[in-house]
Amino acid sequence: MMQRPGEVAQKKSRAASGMGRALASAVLFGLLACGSGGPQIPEELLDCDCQSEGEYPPGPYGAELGDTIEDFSFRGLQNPEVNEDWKELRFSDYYDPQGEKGLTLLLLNTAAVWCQPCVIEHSDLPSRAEQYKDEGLAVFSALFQDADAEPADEATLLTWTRTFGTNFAMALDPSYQMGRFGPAASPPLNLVVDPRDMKILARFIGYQDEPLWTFIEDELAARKEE
Amino acid sequence: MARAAFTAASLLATTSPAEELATEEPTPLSAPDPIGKKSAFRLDASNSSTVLYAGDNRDTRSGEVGTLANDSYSMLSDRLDLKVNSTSFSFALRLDGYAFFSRPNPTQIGLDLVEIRKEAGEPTEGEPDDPTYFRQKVYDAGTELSTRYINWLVPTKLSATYKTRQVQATVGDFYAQFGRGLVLSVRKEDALSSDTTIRGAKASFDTEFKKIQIEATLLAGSANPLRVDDASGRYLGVHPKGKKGFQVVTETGMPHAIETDFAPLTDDCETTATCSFAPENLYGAEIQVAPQDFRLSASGSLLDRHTILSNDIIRSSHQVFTGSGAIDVISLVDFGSLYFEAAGQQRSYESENRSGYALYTQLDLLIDPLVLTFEGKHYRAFYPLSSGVSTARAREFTQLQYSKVPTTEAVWNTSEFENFNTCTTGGRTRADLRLSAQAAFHGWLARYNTWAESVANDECAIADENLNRVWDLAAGTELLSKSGRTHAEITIGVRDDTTARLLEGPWGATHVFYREAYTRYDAAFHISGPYSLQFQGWHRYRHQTVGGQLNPWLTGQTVNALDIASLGTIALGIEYDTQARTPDLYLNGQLSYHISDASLVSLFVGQRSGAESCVGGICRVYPPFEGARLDWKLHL
Repeated sequence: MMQRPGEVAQKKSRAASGMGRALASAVLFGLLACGSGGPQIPEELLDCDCQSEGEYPPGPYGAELGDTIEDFSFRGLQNPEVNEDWKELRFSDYYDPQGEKGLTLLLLNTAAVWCQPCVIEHSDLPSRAEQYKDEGLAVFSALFQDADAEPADEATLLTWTRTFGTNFAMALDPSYQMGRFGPAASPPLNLVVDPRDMKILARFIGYQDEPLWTFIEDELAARKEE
Repeated sequence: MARAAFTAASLLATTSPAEELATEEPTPLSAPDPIGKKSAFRLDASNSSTVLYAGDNRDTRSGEVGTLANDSYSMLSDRLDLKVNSTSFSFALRLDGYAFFSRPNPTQIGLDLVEIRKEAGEPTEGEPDDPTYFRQKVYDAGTELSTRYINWLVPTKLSATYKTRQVQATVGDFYAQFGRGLVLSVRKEDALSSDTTIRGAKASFDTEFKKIQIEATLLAGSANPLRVDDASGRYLGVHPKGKKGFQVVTETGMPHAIETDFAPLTDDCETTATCSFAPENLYGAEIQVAPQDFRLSASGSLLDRHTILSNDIIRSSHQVFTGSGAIDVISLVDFGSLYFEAAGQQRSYESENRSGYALYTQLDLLIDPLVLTFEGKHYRAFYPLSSGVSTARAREFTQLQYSKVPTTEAVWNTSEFENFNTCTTGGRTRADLRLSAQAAFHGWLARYNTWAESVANDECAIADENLNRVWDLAAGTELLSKSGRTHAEITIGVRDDTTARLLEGPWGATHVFYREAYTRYDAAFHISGPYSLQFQGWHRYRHQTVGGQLNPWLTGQTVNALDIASLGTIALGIEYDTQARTPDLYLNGQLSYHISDASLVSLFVGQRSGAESCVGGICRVYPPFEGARLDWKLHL
């Protein structure tokens, strides 16, 4: 069986995986590129702070079950139903290791205006968010494209939230950071995360209404008993 | 290109499902010598190769790693088919090799995405800065490329078959279909770039008792889909620890999950980013009893999974049992035939079981020169046996399934959205009128109610709030010259899909969910001698209210060719799509040359739009392609 040239040997530990290794690989590619003609990385792109502001679980970060999600930041509306003040929204806003914020589960969602199932899902999502809010469910949705598959902008987001009466945090994701967790061609993406450690509990690609909410209900019930 | 070239059969569904089965070409897995004739072992060998370069296919979007990961790669693939046949035995082997001698680079993808984002303006407050964005995208690209463009040498299919008048036994890879496909349908479908078999054992017995024909089939094995997708370079990787029981044997030599700098190999498939397929077992049985004018059959299948990689309603079930009974009246008082099948399905999950059922019928009436065909369906929470691939890691394989639930629609229909066919009642009546050897007309009228197209309705709750009503109407003609060397077929149709509830959104308020008008044609005009002109194409006017762009759009393609009989073809293709998200125009050219009856070389250069291709309700989306591709097939 032939394998990809340049693969590293099998590793016994995952400690070296994730962001650091990726960046190291990128630097290595850049250094090699000086002699080999491959991509050269400008100095300014290597100057990455790459640290989460405030308290947040350390890396490595990933996208698979059990991985800790990276602290992404977005521009969005904390609660469009209350006000339309734009602010920075971060995943770390939902990090709640001690339960002081009253969060038991975090649902991360993506949507695009051109995505028919996303429209169907968001018709119902505000009522779901309200239904489970007192049990500690927080919902965060990222709108990444408009009807023409162009990066979503403020006007698109406002139209969306006003159409569906969004009552949870809704952010713009024109850079499609959520591409970490699912392909842009198959929204909606739903990621269920444990706010105590920001680890991924489940991932749903495409509109999986019943499996998703059955999972959420079961998790909320289990946490109630803990 | 992995997507099949246009043929009349692919454009115009003039065959019924039964006819499609009957005309399926013999495969390397089922072609021994005629029974009763003594002959030495005979070797058949053919080799098909492809070399391609894929350039920038103009689908790049800001932030989307996938739209850059499908550019700038080169592939050499080779497929060797060997068959050894004797009177009662046949052996077959298919060996596939894939070599990628250039592939996208994750660092370059990260750099490109930074530049694309800069061109759109500086990142706004709250968005990641350039170094953070670059790092994120390099990681995402590295993970994406960990399951693409990997070199493999794969024993794709292998089998040994023993056949006599009454018994056929196969060990290795085999196709299987029971009835019309509701219970089990594992077959090759070129238009979908799929060739799924069961790798295990199959035995069929055929006998006669007091003029009653009796056939029985038993099968068991592990599902064996194609593991590398030509159109995307994606492979299905199995975790080294993911093989249970006889899967250790059936998975020998098949692609496996690898470890890369971006995707570590963990202890299980669920957490390994390059593990996209967990082998699953299929078991089946069928018995058919056929007195003179009718056939009774009963069949059942069991799909068994031990690892769940996707969370949708069918892929998250550990076991799916499907059973059916059918009656096929071959001669209905000498002027028709009738087929009726009733199926039940039970899906087992961690803590519960769920069930569904399906009723399907086809009635053919011959009132010369008119043939009337009615197909009807009544499905309630009846799901196709979708393969348990990871839809997150291998989206190109989401169309893989081990059954084929009849849609009763035209075989090429792409307008059944979401779970349309899992919770629906309706049917289509088609009329074919042959006026003479040179002229025939056809038309159909279809009407469906579906409750799982515009809402999530896994349990098939029948209520107006879930309802879509669909009308589909078409008419066409088939003309043939007296010499038979000039022919033309054209079909024009419309489709109207409305919801019972009012749809309110940025588009206003409407009951219209989807509308379409289309035409499809296939014509050949004989010029003189071996020269003919051929025109094939389709054109659609489409309007999709929920999702999609707000305004209707046009899309279509036409292939115009000069055919030189027995020698080859020169073709020019034009494709267009007025959706805002895609380029408007695609141009391509193709040359093909017949080296012999069974050997062919073909060159494609140009652009092809990304498109959805459906065959009998099973659909996949092909990415756009721009580049060059050389195919050659040699019969040795």
